[in-house]
Amino acid sequence: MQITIASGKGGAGKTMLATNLAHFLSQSGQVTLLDCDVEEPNCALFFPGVYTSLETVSVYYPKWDSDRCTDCGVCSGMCRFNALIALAGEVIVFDKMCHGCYACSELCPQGALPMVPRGIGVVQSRKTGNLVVTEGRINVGEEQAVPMVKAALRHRDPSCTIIDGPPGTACSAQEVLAHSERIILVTEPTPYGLHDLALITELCLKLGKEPLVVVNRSREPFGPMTAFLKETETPLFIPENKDIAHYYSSGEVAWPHVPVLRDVLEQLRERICHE
Amino acid sequence: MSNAAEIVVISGKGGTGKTSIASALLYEFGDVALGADCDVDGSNFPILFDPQPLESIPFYGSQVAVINEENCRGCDACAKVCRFEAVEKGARAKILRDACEGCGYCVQICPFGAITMEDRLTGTIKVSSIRTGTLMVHGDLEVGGDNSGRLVAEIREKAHVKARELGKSLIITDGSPGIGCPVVSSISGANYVLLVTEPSLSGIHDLERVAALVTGFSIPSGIVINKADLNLRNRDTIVLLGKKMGLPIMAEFPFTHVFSESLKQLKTLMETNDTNLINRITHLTKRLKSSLEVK
Amino acid sequence: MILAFTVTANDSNASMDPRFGRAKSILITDENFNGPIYLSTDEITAGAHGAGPRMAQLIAEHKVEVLITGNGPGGNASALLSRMGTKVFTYSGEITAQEAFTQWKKGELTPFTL
Repeated sequence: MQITIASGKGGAGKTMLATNLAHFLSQSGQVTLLDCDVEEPNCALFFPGVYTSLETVSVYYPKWDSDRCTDCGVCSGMCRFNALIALAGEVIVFDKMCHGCYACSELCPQGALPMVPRGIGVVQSRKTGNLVVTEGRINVGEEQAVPMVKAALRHRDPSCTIIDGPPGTACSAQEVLAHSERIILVTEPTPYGLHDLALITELCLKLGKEPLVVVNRSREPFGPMTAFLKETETPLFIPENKDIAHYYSSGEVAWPHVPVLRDVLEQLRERICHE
Repeated sequence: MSNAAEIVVISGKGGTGKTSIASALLYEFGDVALGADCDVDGSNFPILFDPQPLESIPFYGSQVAVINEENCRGCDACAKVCRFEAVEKGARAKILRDACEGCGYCVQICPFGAITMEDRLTGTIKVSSIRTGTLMVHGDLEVGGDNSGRLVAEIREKAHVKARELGKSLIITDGSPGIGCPVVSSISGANYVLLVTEPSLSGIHDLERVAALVTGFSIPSGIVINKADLNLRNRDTIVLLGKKMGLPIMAEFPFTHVFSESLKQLKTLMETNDTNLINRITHLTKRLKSSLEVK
Repeated sequence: MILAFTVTANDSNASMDPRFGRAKSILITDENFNGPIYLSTDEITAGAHGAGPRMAQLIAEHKVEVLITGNGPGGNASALLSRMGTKVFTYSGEITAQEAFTQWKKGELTPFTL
């Protein structure tokens, strides 16, 4: 079972639910918690321990070979990302702007732009009891989250993986959602929450996946959201609770101390395991 | 840009109350100010202000390959070079638009000149009048749209153009989340950056990253601690961190459901009856004014 | 000595454009502000990506020694300019190219470093 916890936007309670659900499920079997929020992977903060590196993730970019270059100018102006600039007999490459299309490298008549690897981040892992926490972590300043997310997804455990997805609806979020068997969307009962929930629900449906919504920090019903949720699978509600927020802020899972959260996790397990 | 001063509200982490603070500031500064929403991937800033669109400008943020079917002979040369699996082979090649990154390699390689690049619509920039009697410039990125950094730059530019036209002296900008290209685009050239954070481990972790970015730009900046009483030890860590980085604590807000309750009623914090919160925002506004010397 | 200014229009009395990569036009002149000419930047600013490095390339092709702009170029463009030995200065406020030139002449502009 591959379950992704996602939200239209950061801060709705995605990481709180992912860490608590994974820890709760690990009481009765092996679970992998896979953090694909590669720009801000925070799941491992909840489970201190030593990391084992699983993979260094690389992308390929052209490296100028001045000995081979005849300054013929074929490469100049070819790169639509302007990652390569030919200037006064030199070719300057901005590796972070390169998308890795290989055009300059393969069309260079002299083979003066060989593609070479460049590390953009790591996939690493730590283990506590039955729970394996694996994260993709992109280096600060790198912008290509998609190859990083793809690498992290290779480390799913086919039996049971809880994925903490990237926030939003951009390319890296789509990549994760496309690889999920079940999607849980976390939201909060406000106009902002509803706006973002509508966007990501649309994306899930476009991918042919019916999401299950968990409304976090729930108090009195919020009319427009109730109306929206009538069209979806019966949602679950986590009541607003300062203890949950406090345990989260200290980097601890809250469910062993907060019965209302434990109830929701049990219902989630029921729903997920009955499928 | 224009003579208007610009305050950009950002937070590394989502959910810290960034947009609630930005909305309260825009309300409190009144019609001397104009709003700009640079959180284009989840544009929430306009929601509380009942925006009525005045202008809508298409934004073409990237390119996509297009096959001219008359010239294509189905030779597959393009499919062979495409690293993004964006070409479907066949009697006529087909471009999978979602996968195409716009590199143009196929254009270079096609023996029949059957491929061209065209601009791709990736978002919209909107100018709207809002219920507080001023304007907001905001934008929507198409789902999965690329190049939000440039969209952010164009929204801010448009806000400065409008500020100049209408004689506004201040722009309140709801900045982009994270630490990537869009946030750099949100703050470059701003007059003041307000960093909203919360006293959680992830909040601190993200604040450190985003504060490093801001101090690198040498823009005057300060911190707002939201939900300050949620974890006092972490709150103290943030205060120390601010001292170390030369960032004053401009305001602190308690952990309260008023933030979400006011949203449900589509009101800014200034329109609630929580006098404690209102006083804190008024005070924050005064401190910002004296930092900017805005009348 | 060749100087370049990022400007909003092809006119020495037009406002400076604080942006580098997406500047509306580039004014080229000498150390006495003789006969300014203007470089079209339309092709560069219309591109989706990497306008800064392309603009730096344009500046380098014209053998510019001093560049005066507002916000300062980004990291990639700065790297190119410093490789070509172009000195960069920034101004503040809203001023014309003529005024920026006068300030530079008096040594009032800030050298830009990233």
